[in-house]
Parts: sequence; structure tokens; C-alpha cells
Amino acid sequence: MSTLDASDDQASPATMSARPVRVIPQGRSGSALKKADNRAAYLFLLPWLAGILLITTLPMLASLYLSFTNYAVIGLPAWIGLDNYIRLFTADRRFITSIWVTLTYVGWSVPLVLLFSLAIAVALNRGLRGLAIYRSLFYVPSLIGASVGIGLLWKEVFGERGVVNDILGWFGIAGRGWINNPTFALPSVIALNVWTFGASMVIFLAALRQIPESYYEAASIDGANAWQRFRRITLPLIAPVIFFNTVLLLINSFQSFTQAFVVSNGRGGPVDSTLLYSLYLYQQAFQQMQMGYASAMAWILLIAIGIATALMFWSSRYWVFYGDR
Amino acid sequence: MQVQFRAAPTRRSFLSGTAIALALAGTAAPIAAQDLAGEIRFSWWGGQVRNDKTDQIIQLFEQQNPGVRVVRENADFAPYWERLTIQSTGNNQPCAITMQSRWLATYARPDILLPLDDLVADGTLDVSGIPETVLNAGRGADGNLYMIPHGVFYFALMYNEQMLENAVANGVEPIEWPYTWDEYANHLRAVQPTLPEGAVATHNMGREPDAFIPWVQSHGEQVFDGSQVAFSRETAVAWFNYWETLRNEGVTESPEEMISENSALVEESNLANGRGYATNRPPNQLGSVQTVTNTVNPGATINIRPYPVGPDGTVGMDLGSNGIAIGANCAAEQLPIATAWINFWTQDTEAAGIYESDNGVVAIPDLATAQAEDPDTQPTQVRHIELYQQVVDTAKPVFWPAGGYQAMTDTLNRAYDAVAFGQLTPEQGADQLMSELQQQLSQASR
Repeated sequence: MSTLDASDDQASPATMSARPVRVIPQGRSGSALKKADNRAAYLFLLPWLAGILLITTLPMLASLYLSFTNYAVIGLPAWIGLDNYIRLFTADRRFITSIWVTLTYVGWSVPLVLLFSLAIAVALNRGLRGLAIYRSLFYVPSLIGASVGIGLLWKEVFGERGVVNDILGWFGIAGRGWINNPTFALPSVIALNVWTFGASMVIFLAALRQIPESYYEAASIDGANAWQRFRRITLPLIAPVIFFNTVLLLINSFQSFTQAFVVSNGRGGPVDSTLLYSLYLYQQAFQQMQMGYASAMAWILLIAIGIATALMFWSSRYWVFYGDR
Repeated sequence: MQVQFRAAPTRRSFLSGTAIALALAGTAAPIAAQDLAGEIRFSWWGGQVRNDKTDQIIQLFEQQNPGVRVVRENADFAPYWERLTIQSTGNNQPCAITMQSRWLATYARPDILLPLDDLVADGTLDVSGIPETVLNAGRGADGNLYMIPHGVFYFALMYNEQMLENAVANGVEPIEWPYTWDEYANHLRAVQPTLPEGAVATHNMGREPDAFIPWVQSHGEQVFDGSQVAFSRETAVAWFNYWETLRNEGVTESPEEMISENSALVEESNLANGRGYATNRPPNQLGSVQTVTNTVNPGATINIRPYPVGPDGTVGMDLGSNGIAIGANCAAEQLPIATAWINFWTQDTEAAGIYESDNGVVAIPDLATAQAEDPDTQPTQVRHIELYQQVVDTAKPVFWPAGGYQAMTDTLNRAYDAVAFGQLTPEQGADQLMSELQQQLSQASR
């Protein structure tokens, strides 16, 4: 670290000639210049500041205020203190149902997406011919999977007269309306989410390509088999990426909406079996027009996601290996 | 009754409109010519056929009022109300708003919709020919008139004529209205063995408010009393048992298919595809159901008949109305256009002829009769109007509280689904229905 201070720097002609010189206009003090610089900086920051204030911060603050009100969209909000929060936890059976449905969805979706995406990434990392084509093919569902069109397609595929039942029929198995059955509806939605593993896969693939081949060669010479190489080399070295993908998937899964909305016609059925938290929030806000109640739900979701993410970061110290430590 | 179908007319006859106009001379007050200029927004819900008809009527209105432009805003039914609510919050609702009696209570406030009584009293709005009972369907809980009804809708059962004829040929007794719910169930049981393999005698209506309401009212009970649930637990339990019995006997679909059928497009429906004998759909869809059936199941004829009556012969049919309201934010200079537009829509015979009772039977009875007698009117529409005229006098319009229709649909769907999938008994289902419906109504009226 340099020990030169400003006076030293200015005292050295050699240094001055080697570095860009800041020209101070006559008649302007350093502080005036600093102010001018700041103004320019703020000017450049203005679009971002306007965005974060008008599109994020103010609506969030408004939502926080509305969560303590009875606000039916039409009419003015009326302050009711903690009533919405109390009612959610004590008098709303569907709220509790939506939490369980969401936890089930997250509990299955996140590990399955991680497993699928990692498995496919490992397979693709073996230097297959046409890798770019496979990579694109596997990635496409993650681009379109959350769309309404795919939700509708899924509904047809798993419907009473859908492709899945046609295939089962070839083997003499009687199908059913998977999407319309409370036992199978949520697994069908989870399957749709797992199908969109492409984004995680691409990230895993990038991480796998960073692992030096020499590590595997050395391990092979020492007699390590394929599983041992994967377990002792691959997994620890991509642990930060597993962590990154897990956090992303966790946050996304908690907020999942479109697929359940489309396959259940916005109702979260049958019998609330696909009533994800965001879908119930939507129902309260835009079907029953209880915007205050929905705002309280949104803040509970934000806090829940914050806690889940914090827990992930806390746990990472025990299983995530960073090369610089 | 057998409906005879013929090819659709190749022209939407202006001549017949004129004939109707002549027939109605003296019943519909002439609309004073005005020098209107300016622009209003007009919103409605519906599919492409209705959009086309509405567009034609707007063009006609604009031709007659060259200084006027009507901005079209249309949407499907469910998003239509979501959008209107958001627009109302921002005081950005259209000047002329298509409104429905089932949803009126949510918006019937002077800060959202303009009270229309004064405009009716001074003759600005022409309501001549609209029956008082129909007009009153446009009133809010505060007694103000907020909507001028232009169409009256009702609910009925649809069935496949050929399947019935086949059943009768196999010894099944035809039924004539009025039949009780039990008699109707027995009819379905008798028809079932005569149907093709895989077909069911009826769609399972256990989760559908349009069928539940006639059940409740035909058993002598009200659906709502203000914003309170007014039907009894016994009536709800009996309703669930009615459909569970039919389901267990194989007369109706599996719960999975029931849900699928409930939201199915006409093209996918069991009725149109010959997989079902009877179902419930709004009678104003008879024409489109027949058109689709002609394509996917040629030779089949679809007809409509009323819901069953109660054990003592009580009719439980609900009636609703669709009409036009004026946004409270409508500017003073736009108001003459909005009122002229409403008068044109409700009173002009040519406009009524174009619309052909597309969203409810035209509210003015003479216009309805003229449409039914017009040789250019589609036979399905004639049947739609005839059945309405047959049952209208005994119908009992439900007053829907704010949020009531949404709440009833949501809670009845979930309660009966839980019963059908064996998660709740009919008694538990009824308890859940009543408690959650009341909870949502109370929430909406807070």
C-alpha cells in the first residue's frame, strides 16, 4: 500500500507527468468543483432514483400503510390497525391452506429443479457433440415455462382427454383429469415448474466448465471413481453456484403464480389444492377487491422470503466452499 | 318443442327493422334529434360476435350523429369487472358503462355512477316501454336508479333433442314443464341407459350458482337478505345430496370432468360433442352452441327448457338485467352524448334488430315480440325469447349484495368440490359454504 499522501504526490514531478492531471479552473474552489461533480452524478442517477422512488419505494410504503387499513379499492382506506394481520392468522382457513400449499410446492420444486438442472448440466459437460443445440433445447422451457400459453398447454396435456392419458391408454392404464384432481393437481404444477430447469442448468454448466481438468486427472490417478470425483471435487467447487441457484429458486418459488392461476382458472382448485400464496393474494386483491388485506399478505410474504433467504445465507457457512478462504 | 333450424340469413335486414319500427309506432317515444358533438368512451363485455354487433350499432349511432365518436372498450366478462373497479378507483371509468344487476351493488354509489332518476324524470333518458320491474333492477341499495336496462337474462337447461327422441323411442316418458326436481332426476335416470356409451344424462351442476339459486328459491327460500346469507343449511345439504346421489348412480360426470366441463369452451363441451344429454348454459348462448354442435356433432339439435320447480310447484328462476350506466366522472359536455347513446341503444329498433337480444332478451316486451316474429331472426333466438316470455311472470329476481356473485361462485365451487372429492360430507360442505359465503359478504360490505 502506498504511503504517499497528497503533498508527496504533488511534490514529485515524475509522478505528475505519468498520471492524468486534474485541471482546476481559475476562480473555482475545490468545493465548488466537488458540487459540480455531484450535480453531474445526481443527474446521471436521476432516472434510477426516479424509478426506485416512484416505482418501488412509494408503492411499497403505500402498501405498508394499506396493510393496516380496510381498503376495498372503491372508496377510501379506513385505518384498522393490526386487524388484517390478526384475521389472517386467526380467522382465515384459506390463508393457512395457502401457506401449506406453497411450502409443499417450494419443498418439492426447489430440490427437484436443482437435481434435474445439475444432472443435465453434468451430462452436457462431457463434451457432447452438438452441445449448443442441446443447451438451447433444454433452456427454451425456462424462457416460456412461466407463460400463460404453456400453462394452457399443460392443462391440455394433463387434462381428462390430454396427451398423458392417451399415452397411459396405450398401456391399458385408465387416466384421469390430473389437473382437476386435488391429489394430482399440485404435482402437475410442480412438474411444470421442474420442466423449466434450463436457467439453473446454464448456470451450473458455466460453473462446471470452470473446474480445471487437472483436478479430475489427479483424483483418477489416486484411484477415485466417478462418484468420488463428483462428490469430492465437483460438488465442493460448485457449492457457491448451488447456493446461488437455490436462493434464486427459493425466492421465485415462493412467488409462483402464473402456472397455478392458469391451470385452476384463477381459483386455486380443485379444493384449494393449487392455492399458492401469491394466487390467494391475487384473489383477495383483484377478485374480492380487499386491497388492504392483500397488502398485509404481501408484507407477510416479503418477511417470509427474507427469513428464508437469511436462513440460507446463515447455513451457507457450513456447506458452501469459497476458493479464497 | 322441436326447433326447426334453417340457414342463417344472408343479410341483417334493415327492412325488417323498419317493419318492427312501424309495428312499434306509438310504443317507443321518438328520440329528439340533437346536434351532438364530442367523444365518449363505452365499455362492454363479450366475445367476437357481440363485439361485431356492438361495433355495428356504434357505427350506426355515429352515422346519425356525425359529430360524435364513441371509443370502444371491450373485455371478457371476468376481467371486465376487474378493469372497471380499477378505473373507478382512479375516477377514470368510461362515460357509458355496460352494467349488470348482479354486479350493480358494488358500483351503485353516486361517486362512481351517476344517479339517473332526474334524467328519467325530465325526459332526457327515454325509458318508455321498459317494464317497471325491469327498470327497478337498475336501482342500487340506496334506491337511486343507476342503470337503464336493455336486456333481461335468465337461466335455463339445455338438452340434446335427438338424445331425448331416442330415449322416448326406447320407452322413456317425455317430461313437460313444470316438473319438480325429483321428477327431473327421475327423467335423467330413465334417459341414462339409452345414451351412447360414455355419455352422461346431465352435467353435474352441484358447484354452479346459476343452478343452485333456482333450487333455493323453488324451495321457498331467499338467497340473500341484504348482505346476509338467507338460505337454510338444510336446503344446501339437500342440494349437495341431490347431486351426489345422481353422481353415485352414474347419471352425471366424475368430479374431475365436472370441473373441466364447468369451464369448457362450447367446442369442448359434452353437450356439443354428443357426450352429454343435458347441461346448463345461458340461453342466449343457444345460437352459438347450436352452431358449434352443427360442426362437431352434425345432426344434433340443441334446445332449452326451464329449471325444475319446487315440491309445491314454486318456480325459483332468477332474472337479471344488463343495461347501461353513466360514469359519475362523465363531463357535462359528454352527458348529452351518453344519454343519447343510451336512448339509441335501448329504444332504436334498428339497433335492437342488430343486437338481436345478444345479451339478454331485449327489455322492451314489444321489441322482444317483434324480434320473435321477425322471419329473419335466428330460430335459436326465437326460442330464447319464447322461453323467456313463458317463464318471466313467475321468476324471482335475486338482489345481489356487493361482491355477492363473486362470493357465491367462489364458495359454492369449493364447497361442492370438497363434497364431490369426498373431503367433506354434504353437511360439512353446507357449513363451509354458509360460513365462508357470509364471511366474504361481510368483508365486502365492511
